[in-house]
Amino acid sequence: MGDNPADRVSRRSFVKYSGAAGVTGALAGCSSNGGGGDGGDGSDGSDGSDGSDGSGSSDGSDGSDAPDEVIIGSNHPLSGALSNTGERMDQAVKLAAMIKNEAGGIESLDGAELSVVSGDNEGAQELGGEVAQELIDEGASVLTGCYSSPVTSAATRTAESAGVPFVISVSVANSILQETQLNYAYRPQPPANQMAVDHARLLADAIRGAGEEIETAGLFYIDISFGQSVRDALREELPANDIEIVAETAYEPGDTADTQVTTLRDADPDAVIATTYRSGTIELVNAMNNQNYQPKYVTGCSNAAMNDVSALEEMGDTVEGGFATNFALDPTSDAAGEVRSRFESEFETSFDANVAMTYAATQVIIAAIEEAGSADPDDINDALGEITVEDHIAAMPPITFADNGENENSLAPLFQVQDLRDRVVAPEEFAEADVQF
Amino acid sequence: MLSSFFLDACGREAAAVVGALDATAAPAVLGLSLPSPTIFAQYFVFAVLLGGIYGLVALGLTMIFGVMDVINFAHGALMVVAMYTVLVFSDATGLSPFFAIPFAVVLLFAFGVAIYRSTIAPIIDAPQENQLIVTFGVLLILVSGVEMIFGADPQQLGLNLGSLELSGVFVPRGQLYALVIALIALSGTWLFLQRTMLGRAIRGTADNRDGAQYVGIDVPRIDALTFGIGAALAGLAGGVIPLFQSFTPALGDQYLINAFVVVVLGGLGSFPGAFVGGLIIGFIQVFGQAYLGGSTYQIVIFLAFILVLLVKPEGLLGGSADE
Amino acid sequence: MSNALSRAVERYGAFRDEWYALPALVAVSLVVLAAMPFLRQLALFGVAPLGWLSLNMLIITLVWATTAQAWNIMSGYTGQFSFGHAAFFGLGAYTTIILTGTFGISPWVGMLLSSVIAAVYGLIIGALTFRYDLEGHYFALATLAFAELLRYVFTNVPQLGGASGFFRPLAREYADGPGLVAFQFTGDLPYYYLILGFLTVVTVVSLAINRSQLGYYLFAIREREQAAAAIGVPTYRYKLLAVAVSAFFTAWPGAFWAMYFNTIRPSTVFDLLVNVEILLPAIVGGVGTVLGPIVGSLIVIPVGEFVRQSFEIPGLNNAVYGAILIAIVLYSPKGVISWPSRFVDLLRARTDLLDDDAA
Repeated sequence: MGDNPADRVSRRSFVKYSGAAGVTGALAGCSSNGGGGDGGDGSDGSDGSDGSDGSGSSDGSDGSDAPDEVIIGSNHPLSGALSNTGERMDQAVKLAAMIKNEAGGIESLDGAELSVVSGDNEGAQELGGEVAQELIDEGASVLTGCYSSPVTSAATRTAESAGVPFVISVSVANSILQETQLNYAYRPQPPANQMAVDHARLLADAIRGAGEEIETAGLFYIDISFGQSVRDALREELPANDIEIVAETAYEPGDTADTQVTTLRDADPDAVIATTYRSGTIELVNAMNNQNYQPKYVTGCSNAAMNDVSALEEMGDTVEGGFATNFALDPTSDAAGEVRSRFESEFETSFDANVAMTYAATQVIIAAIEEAGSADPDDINDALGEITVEDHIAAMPPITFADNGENENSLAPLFQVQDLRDRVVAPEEFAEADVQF
Repeated sequence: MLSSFFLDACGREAAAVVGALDATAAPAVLGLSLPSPTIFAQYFVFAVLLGGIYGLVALGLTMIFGVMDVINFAHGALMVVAMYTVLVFSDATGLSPFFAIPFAVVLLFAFGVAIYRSTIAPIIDAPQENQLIVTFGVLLILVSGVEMIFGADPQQLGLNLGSLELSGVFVPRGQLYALVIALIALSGTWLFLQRTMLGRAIRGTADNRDGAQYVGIDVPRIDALTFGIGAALAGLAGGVIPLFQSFTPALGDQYLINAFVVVVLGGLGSFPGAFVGGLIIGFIQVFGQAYLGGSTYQIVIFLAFILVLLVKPEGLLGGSADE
Repeated sequence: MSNALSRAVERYGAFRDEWYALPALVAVSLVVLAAMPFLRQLALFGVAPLGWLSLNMLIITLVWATTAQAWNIMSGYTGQFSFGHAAFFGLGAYTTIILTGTFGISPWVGMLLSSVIAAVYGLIIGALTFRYDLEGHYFALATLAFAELLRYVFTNVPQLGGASGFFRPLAREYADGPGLVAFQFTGDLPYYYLILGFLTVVTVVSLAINRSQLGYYLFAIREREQAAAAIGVPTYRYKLLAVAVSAFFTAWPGAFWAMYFNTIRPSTVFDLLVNVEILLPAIVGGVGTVLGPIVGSLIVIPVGEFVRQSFEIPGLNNAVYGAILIAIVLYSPKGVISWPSRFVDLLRARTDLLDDDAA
C-alpha cells in the first residue's frame, strides 16, 4: 500500500529517467528535507529537487521534535471536464498556505512551513482513492478535495483507512458523511440537505418579508447525483415552508431545455428553481427566452451559474432579480476581500464560491495544525474534532464539527442578482444589499 | 395492465421499471395528465424539430452502414470536430455561422476520406469487430484532440436567434434552420444517389459489393467516397448544432447512441428511414421527458430499439434483411 | 542466421505444437502475475522498471483481464460479438452491494446470486436475439441496447440507488471486520490475490472449454453456424450456454469492483465505455485465445496508466490510447498473442531460404 520507501523512489525515478518531461505539479514530491528556508512561494509542486530527489520525502516524523514543514495534500480535478474549477481550487489551497507562511508559518511549531502537494484525480472515481494514497505517501498529514462527489467519497474512505484527516473543500452529496460514520472526514460547506433547508427558508422569508407571495415552485435539476440529492431535499423543505412543488423536470447534459420549459410553462409555478452546472442554467435561460417564458422568480439552489458573473452577463435580463443559494465568500469581511484580491492578482484567474470555500477549508486545516502543535495526522484529527474556527472567509458562523464530521453551523446564504451581479441579501449578518423587487 | 404487456414482450426488468415508474413519476404525471392544446402543440413542434436533428445525424451513419457495412463509431466525434470548426471559423472571420457550416462540411469530407484511407481501407475485409475498434480509436483521438485544444468546458455561439410565434406556440429559429438544412441535405443526397453516375455506383455497391466489382466499379474508391460523404454529413449535423445549443467534446457521443437506434429503426441505408426513425425517437424523447420522470424516456427508446431488432431488423423502411 | 538460433526457434515451434504447451504457458503467466507485487518493487541500480505500476493499477488490470476472459467465451470462441457486457458487470456489482448492504448477506453469497442473475439476463438476451437470428452488427447493437437499458433503469429507479448509486458498507456492519469472509480488506495486496484467484478460475474454465468437445462445437458455430447445425450440433442451445457462462463469470469481477471501490453508480459500472474496456484486452491480445485477454490487459491498462502519469496535458492519454488501438488492430489483427508464432514462422521461412541457398 505504499509504505515501502521503494515505492516512492521507484516511481519518481522511473518517470524522471524515462525522460518524460513536464511532470511538474501532479506527482512531483515536496521540497526535500534539508533545505528548509526557501520561504515565500508556498512550495507547491515544483520539483524542489536539488540533486537528492527521491531520497525519502519528509513526513514530519524524522527524529527532530518540531518538524520543519507540514504537508497538506490537495486532491482536485486538474484535467478533464472539471479542470477549470479544480485548478482554481488547488490554487486556493496553495494561496492559503502561502499567506500563512508569509505570516511566519505555524507558530506552535516554531514557524514550520506549510507546503502543498497536489494530485490530479481527473474527476474520476477510480483515481480519487489512488491520488489520496499517493498524497499520503508523499507525506501529507492532512488532505483536502475533491469537488466531484463520487471522487470525494472514494478519497475520504482511503484517508479513513490510512488514518489521515480529510477536510472536504467542496462536495455536496449528503451520503459522503451521512451514510456511515467516518472518524477522519470533515466538511465545512453545507451539504445538499442544508442547501435545500437554507434555500427554502431564506427564499420564503425574503419574499414574504417584503410583502410578496410565493406559493408554488417548479424544479429544474441535472439528472446526476448532486442534482437528485438537492431535488430530494427540496421535496421536503419546500412544503415545510408552505411552497408546493408543481413540476419537476430533469435535465441531461447535452440536452436543450425546451421540453422542460414547456412543462414548466404548463405548470406555471411562482418560482423556477434550477440545480445544474453552468451550461444547464444557460440552456434553461435560452429556452425560456425562446418561449417568452418568465416566471415570477428564477432561482438557483446549489447552482454555480447564478454566482458566476460571466454567466450572469450571458443570461442577461431573464435572471435579473433572481435569487440563488450557495456557499459564499463573506462580503462583509475585509479580510475576505483582501484574500480575493490577492488571489486574483496572484493567479490571474477568477475567484468564485468554490475558490472561497476551498480557501476556508484550508483555513480550517491550518487552524487545526496550529491547535495541534504537531504534524502528526492523529493529533491534527483530534484538533479538528474539537476546534471552532472563527477566522475564515466563508459567509457562515464559526466552523465547528459535529460527530459525523458535518459543520454544525454550515450555511448557504441567499443571493439576489442585482445589476447582473450576485449580492448576498440574507441572512442579515452577511448581507451586503437589500432585497429588491 | 401495462406491466403484463411489457412482461410478454421484453422480459421481467421492463415490468419492474414500469412498476417503479409509478412511484417516481407520480408528481410529474399527476400534474400534467391533460395538457392544453397549446402545450401539446408546443411539445409536438419540439418533437418534430428534434426528430429532424436526429434524422440529420443519422444520415451519415446510415450511409456508411448501408454501403460498407461498417459501424462508424467515430461519427459522433466527427460531429464534434464540425461543431468546433464552426466555432473557430465564426470567431476568426466574424462571419455568420451559416458560412462556417459549408466550410465544416468540406473539411469533414476531406477528413473522412483521409481517415478511411489510413485506418479502414486496410482492414475492410477483416472481422467486423476490428473495424469497430479502429473507429473507436479514431473517436478517442478526435475527441481528445478537441479537448486538448479547447478544453472540456461547454462552448456556445451565443446566437440568440429567438423564435417564431404562431398563436402561442413557439418555434425556435435555431432549430428551425437546422431542420430546414436537414431537409435540404436529405433531398440533396437523395438526388445525388438517384440521379448521378457516382450515386448509382454507390447504390450498386451497397446492394452487391461483388457484383459491383464485376461490372467495373472501383469499389475501394467508392468506399472512400462514401465514407467521405458520410463524414461530410456528420459535419453538417455537427455544424448546425451550435445554432441552437451549447456543446462540449462529449456531445457527439451522446447523439450517437440514439443515432444508432434511429438508423436501425429506420432501416439500414434508407435515407427517408433515417428521418422516420428520427421522428419516432424525437417524439419518444420529447413526450417521454414531459410525462415520465428523469431520463426514463431513454429506457423506452431502448425497448423500442430492441423490439424493432427482434421484429423487423431491417427497419421500418429497410430493404433486404441483415446480410 | 546462426544454427543455434534456428535450432532454438525450431524447438520453440515444436514445443508450441505440443498438447501441454498452452496449459504450461497459462501456468507460467499466472505464476508471473502472482509474483508481480514483488517484481514491481525489484530495483536494479536504483531504478525499478515496473515501479510506476501501482498495486491499484495492477488490480484494475486483472479486473479487466477477467472480464475479457469471460467475454471471450461468448464472443471469441462462439463468435457472438457482444458489445453489452457492462450489463453483466454492473449486475454483479449492484446485486452484491444491495444484498450485502440491505440484508447483511455475505458478499460471497451475494456474488454467487449476482452471477446467476447475470446469467439469467444473458439467457434472456440470447433467447430473444438468437431466436430471431440476429447476427453481426445487429446482434452487437442489440447487446449494447440491453446494457444501456440497464444503465437507465438503475439511474431512474430510486430503490436501485438512482444516479448516486450505493456506498460499500463497512465490514463491521455485516461481518466481524475486514477479511476474506467479509470480502473486504484494509490493504490492496489481498485484493490483488483475490482478483488473481478469479482470473485463474475463469482462465481454467476457458482452457477447459478450449480443449473440450464443447469448445469444438463453439468454434464450429463461430466459423460456420449453418454447417454446424446441418451436421446436428444443437447451435441454439450451445450459444445460450456460451452466453450464460460468459455472463456468469463477468459478474465476478463486477462484485469484486463493488467490494474494492467505495461506491458504485450507473455511470461507472454500467457506463458505455465499460463495454469497450471489457472487450479491448481480448481484441488487443487475441480474440478466441486463452492467453490473449490476459496479455491484452497487461498491455492496454499499463499503457493507459503510463500515459496518464507521464503527460500533463489533459486528454492526451486518451489520444495516445486511441492511436495504439488503431496501430495494433491494423498491424496485428490476430492480436499480440500471435506475435511469437508469427516470429517463429518468419524465422522458419528465412532459415528455409538460407538452407536452400546453402544447398
